[in-house]
Amino acid sequence: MFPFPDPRGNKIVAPAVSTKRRPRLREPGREAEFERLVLPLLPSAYNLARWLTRNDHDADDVVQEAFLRAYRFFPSFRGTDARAWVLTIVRNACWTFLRASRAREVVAGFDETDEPADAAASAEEDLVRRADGARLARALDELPAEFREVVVLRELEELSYREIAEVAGIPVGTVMSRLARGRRRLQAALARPAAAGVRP
Amino acid sequence: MTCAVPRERVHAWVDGELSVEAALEAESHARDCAECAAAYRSAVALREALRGAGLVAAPPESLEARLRARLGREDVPARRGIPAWAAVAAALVLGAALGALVAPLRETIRSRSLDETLVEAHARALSTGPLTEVASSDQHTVKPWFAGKLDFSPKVKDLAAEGFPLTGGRVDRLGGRPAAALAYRRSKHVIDLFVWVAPSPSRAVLTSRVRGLDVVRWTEDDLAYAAVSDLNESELLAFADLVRR
Repeated sequence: MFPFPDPRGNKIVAPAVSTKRRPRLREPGREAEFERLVLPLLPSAYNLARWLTRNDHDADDVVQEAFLRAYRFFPSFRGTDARAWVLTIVRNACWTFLRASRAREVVAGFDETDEPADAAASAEEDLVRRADGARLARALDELPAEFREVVVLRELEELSYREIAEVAGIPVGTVMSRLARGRRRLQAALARPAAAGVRP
Repeated sequence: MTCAVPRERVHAWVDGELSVEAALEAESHARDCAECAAAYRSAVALREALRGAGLVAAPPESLEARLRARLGREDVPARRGIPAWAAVAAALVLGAALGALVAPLRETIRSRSLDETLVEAHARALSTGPLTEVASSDQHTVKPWFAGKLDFSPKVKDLAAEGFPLTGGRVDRLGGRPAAALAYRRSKHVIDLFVWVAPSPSRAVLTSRVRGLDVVRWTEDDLAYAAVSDLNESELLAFADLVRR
């Protein structure tokens, strides 16, 4: 059973002096706040973790660890944007996980300069519009993680550039350029003939 | 023929990140520039495709219940530090006191805020992370990692043999200035060792306690060092001695 009591039903009993130094000092208002501000962010957190780890099971693990961390450190959260705060924790937990399993992927393949050239825009636009969900999911999965995270935060989580900068720990200018390049890569991948989209 | 408008600007326009004036300007420019107009349309097409494809991954139904069960076993978070009203009251009292007192106190207050800054940087690294951007117990991996990231080179020592294993480092900021932060462990405690360019040399080793965390500071070779941890003060001083040796 989750320990958070209903805040309205909770009478604040003046704590005896002896409880002052106990680690289990109960602060019902703060717990209720965690429930109200942080737990509803679970779907956003999972979505980000799923796209960064590219695996249901890993996303599940990473999100649980990140929320435990958020719970422990919630008393030190003093900002107003709980969403950016939680997504920052989740994002960093994902990167820690990705770096630990570096052999499987990550930084390899990330090259800031390797950009596909602009194609005939109108033909490409049609191909992008015609791409089905599976095709789009694969193209996004194949994007290097540094681009994938800004695209997911912008297009799926609808964060502003400033929020993305905070979550990803990069300057707004870098958010802009990664987003432009990430989209460019996606468009190029979707415009390729279907068979070429499947990697050996 | 290539349009001079940077591609990022078109994306910022698509994302509604331009000011009203800049957006109007972009719009009127795109009326004459086929390139920008096409880039705008393809970015919008991509957004609509991504958002319409059901790509948002939903958590398994059981995740929330499993998470709640784990949170239930956690210690309820205890609020550390000073309540806001107490801080305001303290500031008022301090303000009044400052009217009457002079120079000697000023030094204390300035270092007080440095200690606060150090403790906040430490707490931030622990909560939102990253605690280490380069994770390694090897001083020969961690020290070169800072090259090119800072305009000084911090002393990096692995103290595993003495019971304080190095776990890695990161670049942090203290009051807007870059600092190296080295992470060490002592059983379950984390020690952050901050290193930055010292504004003035001081021989003394200073200790203080902010929000239940101990801070030990000293300077060495034009660099300021500060160890921050929830470890007890005597162990933190022992750690500082090992670093200084």
